[in-house]
Amino acid sequence: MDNYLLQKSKLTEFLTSLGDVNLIAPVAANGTTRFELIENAAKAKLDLEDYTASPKKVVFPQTETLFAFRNKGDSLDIEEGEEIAPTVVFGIRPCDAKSFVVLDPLFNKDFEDPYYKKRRDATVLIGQACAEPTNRCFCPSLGGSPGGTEGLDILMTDIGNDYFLEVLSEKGKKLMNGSAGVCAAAAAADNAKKEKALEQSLGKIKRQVDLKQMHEMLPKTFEDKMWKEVGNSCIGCGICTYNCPTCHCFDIQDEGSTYQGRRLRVWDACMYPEFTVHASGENPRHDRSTRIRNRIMHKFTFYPNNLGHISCVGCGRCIELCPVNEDLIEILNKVRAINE
Amino acid sequence: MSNPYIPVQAVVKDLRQETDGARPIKTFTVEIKDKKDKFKFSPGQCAMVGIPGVGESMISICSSPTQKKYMQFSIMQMGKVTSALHELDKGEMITVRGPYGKPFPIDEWKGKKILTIGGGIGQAPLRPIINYVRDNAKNYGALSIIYGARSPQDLVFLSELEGMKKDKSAKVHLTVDAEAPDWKGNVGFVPNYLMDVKPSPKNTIAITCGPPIMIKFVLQNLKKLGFEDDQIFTTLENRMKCGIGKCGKCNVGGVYVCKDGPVFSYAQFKELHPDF
Repeated sequence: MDNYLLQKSKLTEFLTSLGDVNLIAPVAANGTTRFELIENAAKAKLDLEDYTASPKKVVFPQTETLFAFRNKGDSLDIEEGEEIAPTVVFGIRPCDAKSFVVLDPLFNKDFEDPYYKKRRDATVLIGQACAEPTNRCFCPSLGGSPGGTEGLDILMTDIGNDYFLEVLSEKGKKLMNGSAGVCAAAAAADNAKKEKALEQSLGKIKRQVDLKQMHEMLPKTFEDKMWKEVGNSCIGCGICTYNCPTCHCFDIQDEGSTYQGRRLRVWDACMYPEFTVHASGENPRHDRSTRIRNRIMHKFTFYPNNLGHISCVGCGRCIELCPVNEDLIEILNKVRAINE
Repeated sequence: MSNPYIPVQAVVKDLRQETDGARPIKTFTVEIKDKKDKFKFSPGQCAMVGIPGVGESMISICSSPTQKKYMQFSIMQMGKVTSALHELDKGEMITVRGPYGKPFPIDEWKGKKILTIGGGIGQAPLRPIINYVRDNAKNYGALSIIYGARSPQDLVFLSELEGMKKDKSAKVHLTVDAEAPDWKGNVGFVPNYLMDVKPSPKNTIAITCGPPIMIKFVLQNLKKLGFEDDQIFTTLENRMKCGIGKCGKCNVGGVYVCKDGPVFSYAQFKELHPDF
């Protein structure tokens, strides 16, 4: 596929040239960086270092209407969810783009989830290679890298005065149709600059975890007291799940009255006791240690066994944001130590 | 593309109070309104029964697919949704979506004797087997039912079971946990009563459902009686929301009760993650 050069000064022009799309881009707000729908292309910022939240909500919103209903006594009118406009996520990190690839089989296998599918189909991902990985990043341990392309349609890499644009998919190619004019053709020297920039970024990643045979090691630690210790320090706040780009658990809630209302899908968290409690009061995951154990085994054993991907991309947000300093890497290292 | 989250409309055609007390049980006879919305199911499968504006609960379909006109659900009043369902009158509308889960391999049991061992509302998922086998009696060996509850008032489907005793379509063994006035049947827990009844494992399939603690001891006792792993089946439950293996609530290890269960052979049950 084609490569392009985009002058940094032409960024706004480039984004405007994408045409009539919902443009989701990183914005700074209240000390955090978030992906938001922006009206004005000039608001998109690529120099924000640390992304507090992934743009997972673009394909799997935190609250989403499954259907609206109106009960007319002897019949029920059901109106299915909204139409989705073409959407471009601009500036997504490679780890977060990979998380979409991890989520795809969950929503598409067995029963196809029409809500996820229509959003995913309507969305083009323009990624931003990481120039300055954070001190929590460990994507190479999960097969990623600061310039990873998995899941992306276009990857942009900062090479000084320009962004180096790699078109990676048919979706990306189609998007560039109206925007190639804003860019220049990339030369071999530019490609070399990009390779060098990515190599430098990779060298800045400090953390790593050995995941070899981890899916088999975890079940062997099931009864280990380590889980009690981890569970004792956890406060069950759920922030690790809400900011995880691959967490997908949800609840279904009704809003309104029995006459008129909506059925909603909302993010839920396996770290909460209510997540699994039966109407009888019985709870199969009755304390924080059983819930953390399930969360980590789900990501590194059950999910890969069922769906072929480890459900982690090495973004490290769960480590950074945990108020009691639970560290996923340390937990996985303990699992390995117990096995060895 | 069909949307698995959209339920179909159904009408409550009949209501039968099975038990009273703090957690009453009612059997709902339900007819799907539009013929094109009707779905096929097999014994052991479940459906999401709901009231828009309140929510949905996963309930086992307790009628047999040989009864084509309607479906039945026996529902204990427990949480928000089941309490709202218990408020309904005949003729009112509910929603249904399904069927969900893997059914009992009932066709593979042809030619064999069938033994069900139930406790409390756990008799509900066994009822479609019982009625299916009675409706196809020539294909199956003798049908035996062991069923118990806390008290005589807590036994569901009692008149049906008495009827089967009378017309000899099944051997029915009833038990209650404690002595009760006017109760002439057995007194004792289901797993112990199973040892008293002492069914022969020869050419027999045993299916059990009830409270987890009962299932545990029934399984142990079936093994003591000489039943092989592939002669024993059970059906489980967990909290569910989507019913299609996505919401993450009902997993037991890598197994999702909603789509990989709720029916498990004893061989599969033993392999389940110790989380259960």
